[in-house]
Formats: sequence, C-alpha cells, structure tokens
Amino acid sequence: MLKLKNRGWLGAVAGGVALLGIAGSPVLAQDAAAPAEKKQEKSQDKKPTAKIGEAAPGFELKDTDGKTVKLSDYKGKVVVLEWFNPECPIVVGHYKMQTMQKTQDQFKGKGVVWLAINSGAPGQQGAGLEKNADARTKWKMAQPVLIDESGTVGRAYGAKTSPHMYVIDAKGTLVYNGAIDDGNGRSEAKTNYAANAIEAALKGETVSPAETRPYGCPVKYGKSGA
Amino acid sequence: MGRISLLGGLVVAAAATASPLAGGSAVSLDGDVRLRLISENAALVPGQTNWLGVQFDIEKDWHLYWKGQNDSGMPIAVTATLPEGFEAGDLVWPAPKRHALEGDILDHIYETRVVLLLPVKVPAGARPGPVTLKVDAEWMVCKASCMLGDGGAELKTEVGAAGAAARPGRDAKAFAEARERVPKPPLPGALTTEWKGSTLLVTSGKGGTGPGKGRKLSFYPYEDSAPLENITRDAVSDKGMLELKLRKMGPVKGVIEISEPGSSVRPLFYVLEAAPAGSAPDPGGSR
Repeated sequence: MLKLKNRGWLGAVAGGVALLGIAGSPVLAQDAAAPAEKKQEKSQDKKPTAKIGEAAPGFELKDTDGKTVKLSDYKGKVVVLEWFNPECPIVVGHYKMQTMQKTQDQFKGKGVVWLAINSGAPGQQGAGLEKNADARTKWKMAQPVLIDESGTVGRAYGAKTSPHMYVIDAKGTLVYNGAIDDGNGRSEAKTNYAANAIEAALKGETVSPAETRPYGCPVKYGKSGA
Repeated sequence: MGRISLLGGLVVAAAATASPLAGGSAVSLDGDVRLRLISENAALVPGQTNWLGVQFDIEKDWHLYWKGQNDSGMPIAVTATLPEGFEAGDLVWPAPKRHALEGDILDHIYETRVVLLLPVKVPAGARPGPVTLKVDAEWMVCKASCMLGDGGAELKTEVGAAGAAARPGRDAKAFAEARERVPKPPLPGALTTEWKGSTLLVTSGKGGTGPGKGRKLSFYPYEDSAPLENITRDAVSDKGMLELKLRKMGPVKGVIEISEPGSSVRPLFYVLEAAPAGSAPDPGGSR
C-alpha cells in the first residue's frame, strides 16, 4: 500500500524551485512577528492562536539544512504553510499525485513562499531531520522542511493533520486554514482549496472558503510543554 | 462537505460476477484490519430490505475512523458491488468513541471491531438460488503511526423463495450488537435542548430505564453539524448536561451518548438535531 512509485512524477517538480528564489529576500519589519510570538506562548496548552483575519503567528525554525527561516522574512509575500510528515500515507499520496508540486507550479514566478513544517515529536512517525531531508531529496521538494519538534509552531497555528495548509497574505494576515483540497489523498480532487486561497491572496481578494476541515494523519505532537 | 460525502458515499455497481469458487465468506487481509461481509438473514428475502454487515476486525491498539467530525484521520469508505436489480441504501454507522491526542486533536474512532450496517433491497422478482455480494473498503488505520489499507470481501449466500419468512443467519448476533450503538430518535423527554445565545444546552431526561445518577453525556457531531468552539472541552460532561458553544451558528446534529460510568447500565444512543431559532430546517433531512 505504501510503497512509493517514483517514476513519472519527479521531473515535474523542478519548476517549483523558482518559488524558493525569493528565500533570500531581505528581512522586513519585525513588528508583525513580535506580537504574534507573544500570543503563541500563551497558546501552549489549549487554544490555537491563529485566527482567520488576524496576524499569522510569527516563528523562527531551522530547515533540514540547518538554515534559520523566519516568517517575518517574508513580509510582503504570500506565504503558504504545509504541515508535513513524509511517512504519512496521505502526504505520500499527495506527492505521488503531485498535488503539492502542481499547486506550486501554478504560482511559479508569482513570488509565493512555500514552507513545509514538521511538528512531529522525536521518535514519531516521519519525525526527525534525516527522514525529512531524505524526503526532500526523494521527492525533489522545492520548499524547505522546517523542523518543529517541540510542536510550538504547530500548536500556535492549531495544525491538526499532515497535510494541514495555511495561507498568509502579503500583509501577514492569515487568510486560509484547512485542507489542501476536497479529495482524500488517494484520488484526484475536484477543488484545490489552497490554490484558490493563494490565487485570491495574490489578487488581494477575499478568500472563500477561508476555512475547511483538514484531513490526513494527526500531527504527532509530543507532550505539551515537553 | 464534499470530501466526506465522497468518502461516506456508496457507489453501487450492478455486476454479475458470481465466481465459481468455493462458498463461505472470503476474508481479505490487509495489514492490521480484517474485513468480512456478513448477512443478518440466512437467506435473502426477495421484495424486502435485507441487512448486510461490513465487519472490520482491527488489531489491538489500532483504530479506524467514524464518518462524522474528526480533526484528523479519514473515515472508512465502502463500495458495494451487487447483483443486478439489488439496491444498496446508506451505510448505518454505530456510534464511535472519542479519541483525544496531544495538540488538541479530537477524533471519533472504532477499536477492536465495528460492523457498518448496509441495507440492501432485494427485488421482489429475484430468482431464488445462490448469489454473491461484494464490498470493497478503504480506510486509514492508526496507532502511533497511520497507514492506509484497503480490501474486499465477498458473501456467498442465497436468495430464498418468494414469500418465505426471514430466518436469522449465523451472524445475526453481530447485527444486534452493532444496533446497540446505532443512535435512535430520542424517546419523549429523553433529551431536552435549549438555546442560550450561541450555546446549545443538552440535558438528559430524568428517570426512565436508562442511565440515571452520575450520567455522562457525550456528543459526537455529524460532518454537517455547526462547528463547536471547543469540542475537546465541551462535547463530554459528567454533570448530566452538555453546553455546546458554537463557533459558527447553525444546526447542531450528531449522536448523544448517555452512559453511567462504573455501572453495568448500558449506554443509550440518541440522534440529536437542534436548529437555532429562526433558522430554516435542513430540507435535506438527515441520516
């Protein structure tokens, strides 16, 4: 069931690299990130901080290459967050069907930043630097995978599944929270909610639906506060 | 919505693939879940709705997903392949169990064994004799890790003579057990609902033969129920009353379980449907 068929779909992601061309864009105002980070601390135990129409919680995480990535670095850009677990069969299914790659290709050259985040605790399915670095290579992922083993960022956003998608507009406001699409990771979906949200965010239009129910494997958080 | 109805939906294909292989129910093995297709009646009764059961035996500590609101996972999906003229209805899902995970993740699951009930209308003119029915299922099964699984099961049975009475088959008991957890319309006074702004108060009735003192109420929302502000906190109560605070106003639909922890009294399962004042009732009805 879970074996990967690598043939056929690897070549198609190359275009996605362009998305990361802007990773070096200058650090802009810190103000958007700072207040959100404060809220994030409060959210540890229960309620997610991230709310549609409000500032997206700021974060600073390391990717699988050890490079630090800050959300505040991307102010002025539309940012997509993809909760990731390379061993979740639904994630595997989406990479096989090229859902993520195709969505990235659709916005090639439009300055969209795409960040994958893995909030799995050490030892959990799909967690750890090595597995995520391997997945990036294997799937020729254009986007970095940020490691959030404490689950702090995942909890701040209320990320429940892999893949759970968020779209942040150029002003740093959270405009979409939910599923990648109306499918199930096994067969082609009809509507790509995330793509629609990115499109609307780029045009400065209202995202609808702004919230859908994500599906997939539960994010494998460690104990709260651990 | 579309996603779940797609998964929960039932595609019925007419087919005549009666295999000449040996009788008995086939068992598919796929990872940690075993699938069987069972019949309530020893022989199918023409002109009537006969109940089949799609039985999942799940490895200890692993679970499958109910089709209502879940923060994660994926509900079981079933496709039936039936002889021409046979008609499958909607699957009937026994009530699930709550399953909370770190990160405020709340799912509704099945452990050990679940039998999803499948009504099949057998045409009045069905010819008596051997017949093969088939189901295919897909599921996500999780413990600490998650896996996808799929499998199929066949039931070789027979259509009985026209006019013959239904006789319980050897799996009839599994149907009785499954129905104990299938929610029913509440008996008069069994549930009281009251709106307070965006909060729905649900109280279990006093007296009766069900759980009494120290009753615990649990709410398992259907997919199309209005979202709760905090399902982890609010959808279970040992005070005999639930305070379901909504994040967005809308009809509340789902299953209420009334139980008495620590006693031998069997839990009761009722369908809850409550529309806020002034909202139009759902023209589509419910399950």
